[in-house]
Amino acid sequence: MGVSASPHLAAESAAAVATTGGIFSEWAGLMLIGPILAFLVIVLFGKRMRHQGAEVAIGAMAFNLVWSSALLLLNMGDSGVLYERSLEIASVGGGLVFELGWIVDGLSIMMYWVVAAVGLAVFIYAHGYMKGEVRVTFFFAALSLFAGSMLVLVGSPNLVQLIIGWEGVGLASYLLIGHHWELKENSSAAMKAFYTNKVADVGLVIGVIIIGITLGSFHFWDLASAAAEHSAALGPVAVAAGLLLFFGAMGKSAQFPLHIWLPDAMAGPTPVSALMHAATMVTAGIYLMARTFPLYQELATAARPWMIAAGTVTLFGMGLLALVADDIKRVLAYSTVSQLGYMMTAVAAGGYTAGLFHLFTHAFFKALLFLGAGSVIHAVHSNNMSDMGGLRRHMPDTYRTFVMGALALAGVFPLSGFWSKDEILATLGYEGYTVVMWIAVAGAFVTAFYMARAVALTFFGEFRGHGEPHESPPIMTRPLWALAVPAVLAGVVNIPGLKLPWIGNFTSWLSVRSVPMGDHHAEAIDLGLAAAGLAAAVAGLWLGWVAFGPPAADRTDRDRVEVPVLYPLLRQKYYLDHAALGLVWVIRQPAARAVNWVNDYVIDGVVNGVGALCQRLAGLLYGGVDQHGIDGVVHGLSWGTSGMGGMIRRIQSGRVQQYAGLLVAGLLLLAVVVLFVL
Amino acid sequence: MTRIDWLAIAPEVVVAAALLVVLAVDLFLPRERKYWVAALAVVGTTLAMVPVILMAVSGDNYSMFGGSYVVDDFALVLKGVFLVAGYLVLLISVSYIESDRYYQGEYYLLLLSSLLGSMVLTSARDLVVLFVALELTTGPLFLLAGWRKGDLRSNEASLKFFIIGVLSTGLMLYGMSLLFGLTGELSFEGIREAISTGGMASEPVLGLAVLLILVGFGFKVSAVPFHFWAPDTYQGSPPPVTAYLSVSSKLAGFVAMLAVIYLALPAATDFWGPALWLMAAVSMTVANLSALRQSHLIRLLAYSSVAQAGFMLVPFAGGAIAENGLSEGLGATVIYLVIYAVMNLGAFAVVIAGGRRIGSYEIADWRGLGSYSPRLGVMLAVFFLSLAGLPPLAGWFAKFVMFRAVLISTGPAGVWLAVIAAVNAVVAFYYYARVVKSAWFDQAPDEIPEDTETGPTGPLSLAMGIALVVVLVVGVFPGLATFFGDAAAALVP
Amino acid sequence: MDLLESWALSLIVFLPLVGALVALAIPKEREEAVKQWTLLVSVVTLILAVVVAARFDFGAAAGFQFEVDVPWISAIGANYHIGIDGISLPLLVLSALVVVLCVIYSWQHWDEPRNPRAFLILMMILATGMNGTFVALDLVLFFIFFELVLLPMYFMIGIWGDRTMRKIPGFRKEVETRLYAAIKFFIFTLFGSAFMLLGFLALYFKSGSGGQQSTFDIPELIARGHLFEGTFAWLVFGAMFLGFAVKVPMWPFHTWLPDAHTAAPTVGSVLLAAILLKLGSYAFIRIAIPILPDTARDWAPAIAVLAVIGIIYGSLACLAQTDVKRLIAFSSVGHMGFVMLGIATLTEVGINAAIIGMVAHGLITGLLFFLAGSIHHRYHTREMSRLGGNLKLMPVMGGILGFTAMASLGLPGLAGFWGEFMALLGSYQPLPGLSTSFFRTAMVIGAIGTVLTAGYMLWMLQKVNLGEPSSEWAGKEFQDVDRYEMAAWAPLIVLIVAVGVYPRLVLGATTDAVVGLVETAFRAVGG
Repeated sequence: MGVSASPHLAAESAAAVATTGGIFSEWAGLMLIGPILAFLVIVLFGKRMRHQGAEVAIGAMAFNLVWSSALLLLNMGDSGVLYERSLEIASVGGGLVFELGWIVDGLSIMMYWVVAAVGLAVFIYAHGYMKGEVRVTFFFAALSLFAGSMLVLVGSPNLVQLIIGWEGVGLASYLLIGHHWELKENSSAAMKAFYTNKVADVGLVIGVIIIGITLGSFHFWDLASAAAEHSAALGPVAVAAGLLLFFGAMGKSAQFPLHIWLPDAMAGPTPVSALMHAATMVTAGIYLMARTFPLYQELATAARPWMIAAGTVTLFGMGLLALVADDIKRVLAYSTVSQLGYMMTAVAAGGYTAGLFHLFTHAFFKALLFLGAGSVIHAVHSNNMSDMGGLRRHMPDTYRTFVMGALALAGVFPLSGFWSKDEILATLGYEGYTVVMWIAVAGAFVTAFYMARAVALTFFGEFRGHGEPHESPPIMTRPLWALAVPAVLAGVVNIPGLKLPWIGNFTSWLSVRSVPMGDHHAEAIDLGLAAAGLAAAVAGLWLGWVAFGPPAADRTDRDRVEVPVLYPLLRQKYYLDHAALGLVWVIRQPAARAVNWVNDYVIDGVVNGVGALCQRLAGLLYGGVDQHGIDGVVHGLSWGTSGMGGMIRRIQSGRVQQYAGLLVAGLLLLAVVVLFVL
Repeated sequence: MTRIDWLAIAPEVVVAAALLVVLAVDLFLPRERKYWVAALAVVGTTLAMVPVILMAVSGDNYSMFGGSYVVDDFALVLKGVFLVAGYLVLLISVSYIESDRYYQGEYYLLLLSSLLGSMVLTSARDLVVLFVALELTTGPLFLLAGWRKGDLRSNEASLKFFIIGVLSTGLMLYGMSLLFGLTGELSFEGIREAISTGGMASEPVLGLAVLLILVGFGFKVSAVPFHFWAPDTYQGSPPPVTAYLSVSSKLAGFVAMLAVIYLALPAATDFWGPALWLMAAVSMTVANLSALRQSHLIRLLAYSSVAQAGFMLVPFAGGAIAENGLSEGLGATVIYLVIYAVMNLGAFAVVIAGGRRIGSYEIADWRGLGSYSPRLGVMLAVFFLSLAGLPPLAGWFAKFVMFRAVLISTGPAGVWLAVIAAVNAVVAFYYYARVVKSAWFDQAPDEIPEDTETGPTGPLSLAMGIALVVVLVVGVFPGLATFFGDAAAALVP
Repeated sequence: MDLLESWALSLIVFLPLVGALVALAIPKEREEAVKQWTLLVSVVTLILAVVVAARFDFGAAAGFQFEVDVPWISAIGANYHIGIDGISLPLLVLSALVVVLCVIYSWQHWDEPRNPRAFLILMMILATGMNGTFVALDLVLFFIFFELVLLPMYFMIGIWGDRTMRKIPGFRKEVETRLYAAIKFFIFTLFGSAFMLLGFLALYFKSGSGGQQSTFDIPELIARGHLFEGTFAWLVFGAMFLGFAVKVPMWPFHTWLPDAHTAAPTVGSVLLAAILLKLGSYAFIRIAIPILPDTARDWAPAIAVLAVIGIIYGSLACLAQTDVKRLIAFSSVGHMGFVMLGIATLTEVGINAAIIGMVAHGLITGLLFFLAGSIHHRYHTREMSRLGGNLKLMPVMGGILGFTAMASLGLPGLAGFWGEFMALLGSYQPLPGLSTSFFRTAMVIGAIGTVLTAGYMLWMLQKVNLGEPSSEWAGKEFQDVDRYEMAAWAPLIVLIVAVGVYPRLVLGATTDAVVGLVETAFRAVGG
């Protein structure tokens, strides 16, 4: 097993002093392996454990949180941690090697920590949530696999390992979304998620191949160096590779139009949604764009407008869909898609830090919102907001934390979402994408609006469901509070221009990397822009409250503003699902059937036909020629040549004369052929 | 006239003696003791092997009667083959003839006469000896084919065989007389030299002579289009006779053909090359396709033997095409003959054994044979699949050398013939496999035929056993067979 | 050591055959004794193969080791020449392993009409043929082993095969599945190998044109590669192509495969998928490409086209299947398409991809056929419309099915991924001289093929594994995976993961050999 030392560590670092991070870096791979091991242990032995394997999963996550916190602390302040370790798993000829390993730098540390922190909260919550559910053991195994794959992905020093983690995440999402696979719609949702991602993965795989072959290496830091040096080899294919990687990211990060899997993915148990939408899975695409940022920044600049376009459509168009959704999880799902649009737009526009910061804050408040929604669903046994209402009184903890999350998402000062969204707006403005910036502001308005609607419909007015809802047990509410803290406070780590003692700021954490990227981050608050963003949020909240606050929430026809074309369009999700289903239908039905038909009737037809032809030919030869003679000809011949045929008409079955005739005929034929033809 | 070397003709003398003893003893033996006749015939054949082996070990060549009668490696090898084939046929015959209980003496007498003829044939080096020997081989068979006198089919078989045989013999004789007239020579060597010195290689009369002779041989080896008698005759004759017909008589035809073509007419490739190419191609194709339609085992084997004749003709055509392909072609044909003789006799032995138990030669009636008689089933599979040419059964090597002989020239004629042969090999597999399928894959009938064997079955089992061992051993170590080919190929001048 | 060097391979090849002969002597009724004996023989063979692998000098994987070269049929210059290099080693070990697993699986699972002795004897003969093909270094020897596998498989399908009647398009009457499949399998393969043999012979004669002795020796023929050129080489390659492509099977010579797989008894399908299909692709790498490199370059685009068609076609055909076993069978067409695409690139990466793809396909599809067999064994049907909720009825088997399906669709981290990924990797930059844009197109289509693969595998899982069991099965007791099944499958599962995580298990042996092969073959161009 070859262990490559870290050749890239000598590269220039943006951090003042880069340390290797000691054992925490040297053994950081444990964080990648831990949850995977937990997965195996739970699969094999989980059923015999007291908590059906939950303890193992939670234990692994807790370990990761401790470890990643240590790394985070080491990375804070004045010094950064930069380390990489790769084990060769195969050399495949042509100078290419495949490696597994881990990378420790600002970006990966941030991701390790987010996955561990959110993951732990979700896992603990899930332990309560899943009480009495079917297949708890399997659930925790898959959750561990989910987190583990995500860590393999974010810890990857190279593109190949990234693919492994990437698809591992896809697999885990398939397992978890389809947790209740007895119902066909659930298993279909699982398939849809996996499949949509698989489509996107074509882009990722080809992109990786292009980069790998062109550079002779799959290494991220080689890619970054090549991009920074404006490599002549990489130049011509950079745009293609960049767009292909982006296509892959569109799948995982649910960018329009590959977002279609995400709302359906709500079929999974709510903790899954929380994990998927906050820390794992959907952030993978953003992470990939961040990891390969130098490629877009330096070489594939032509790809950026396309990416921004996709991001912008996503952030606004998908937000609109949240306006008409009735299922509370779907509201949050569309909200996630929309927020991912923000992140993607930001990164594509050059806002490396801005995009990742939003990822960071979003992870907390969105996990919080989902877990809150899960708590509500747990209480009312329905996903539909028409079955909720007035829960403020029944579920105080859930209510309070949910509102905090909603406000953070809406971008209300001084909650975390405000700061991260503001940074995105600032970046867009700085990079000159003014129109996009204003769309983003409008998107903020939409966000605030639907969150106000969701809160109003869920927690205010009268309870419209059945039974008596109760607050969830502490094992579920505590994680809510735990997440509420960073959801509210996380913004302070990156207030422009502010560098906290000890902690430093988010920007400086991220700046620990081997190759400088030349991204922009705001040095000071743009007060005007901040005000505009805040105004949009407040306006949205206010309007949402006016439209859906009590007593409107209790009306059955509460979506009063059914704009003619737009409303049906939104209700039908822009008909994209129809299009996708149509495409699948075309493949499954006419195309597959045609191929099968070709197989059975054309290719096999030829085969069987040749067989039948041989049989027919044989029949003809045997029956027509061999046995019955060619009566006329032979008779004539035998009559004339042998002198026997004319007189003796068929003794017994009497073919002797024919045979004799044929014999002579054969001779003549041979003679003709030999003497004249050849 | 040179001195007669008794060792050289000892094999023939032994067979002739056995023949006479059989004739004499048969007169005195009571009907129920007639099996002694069979035993004597078997002993005679076995004894005849002794001088053959002695000569083979000594390695000397003998030439008599002014070079008309020669005992060389070629002759020895083929004498051995004929003896072994004759021996196996005798073994196969015993129980069959015994159970019919009449004319046993005459049966063995005729069989030994034919064997004697074919042994003389191997040494024949001029047209007269060759003709006499060939007719001595074939003549008794006309009678043997009609052995079951009470059976109309048998009579018809014999009659057809006879009429066509006479016709083709006449044509062949005409061809030989033309050849003699043209060259003034009877010995092969003389003819060869006369043709080359006289520059007659492209004489049309020579062509006519060659073609007429080929017709005769075509009949003997039952190549298309001179094969029409074969299926009817095979089906009508007693199965052991059929076995003999399909092996020894065919072998005799090929041996005569090898001698005439390679020794007397190597220069006339322009005539026999294309003719044999065509005969090979047509034989394979027509016979294989016809065999597809057969539901009767013996008839199927008849067409199979026609097709195999086609395969055996392929090396001739190859020999004509390639510059120095003659020895290659000769060797290949001999190897094919040797392997074919054993596996085909094995196949007949199984068919006879199975036929006696099942009471039918319809393939459909053989269904499930493998389930109630695995021993026969395995044998059947081995011999039929060996005929199909599947490794590691001996048949593969026959096909292999056949392909090798024709591909030695890379010209299109050789390649096309190889391709035709290859396709035919695939077609042939289908009907061989059909028999195997019936025996192994199909459900046995509700009433499994009882094993009601009468008469001695030991000899039949012995024949099968010998053939099985040869087929398997030669299949794995084909070097054993190349010995024959190498020995024979030395004949080519 | 010397004894091992000279005898190990021969033992691996012929021990099963000897075992079969001995088994003949055991009375048919003593089934247990026959099984134990066969298990012993196959395990010893596997141990020998592992020992060979352990003693194999991986530093010199490009050369042949454990070589034996003695005269065999001296008259035609065919030798008993065997040996292994890095390319054949993994396949040989795989072959030895799969046979052991098949014996274990057979312990309790007998298709009608039972007769374990006959079945195991056939399996042992098959083992000899398979192992022999992977070590043969002489064309005639190779031909013999290549053909030797036909008969046992023919009988396996024909005797123990699926007895249901099937309507074959173009046939008036219904035909028993096994009969049609057996003969089709045989005729197809025989057709191909007849031409392959012609190609071998042509090579033999041409190899003598330099004034040297003609030879069937593969390394020697590789050394004399310059003698073969022009139309001659083109035709010879074509003849060999027919033989190998049928075996692979490449589109459009594949139609025997779904029938044979569907009809074969479980173990037959496993052996067919795991090993027999590899013989063709292995032959391309071992024989066709190194001996006729320049011609291979001419043929490469055609092979790539057929490979890519196979990928898409196989996947689409899978989507139209209703029989789970037939679906798996068609999936082989697609997977072997990737193997052939890799080979067609003629690059180190591509050929490596082919080998690891072969190994992975052997492990994964072998396991899938085991599962299909066990499912059929439990439900007595393979119609997906009747199955469903398998995961509920038999959680362990359902879980393994899910795992294997994931491996089959090329999930990274499992064995199936590397073959596909590397084949695409190789296609991005094929051998210099081949059209880059052409192969890149093939790469994109191949990549789309991976999506379709995922499609039918997921669909199959949904149909078979997920959902509620239909009323037909509800309330019935099903035996979940039994001991024998577990014992047969566990090694495959472990290896699928192991090769997936650590592909060096295979590539460690192959890379040097493949690099050597490509360099020798294409030195003039590759530089």
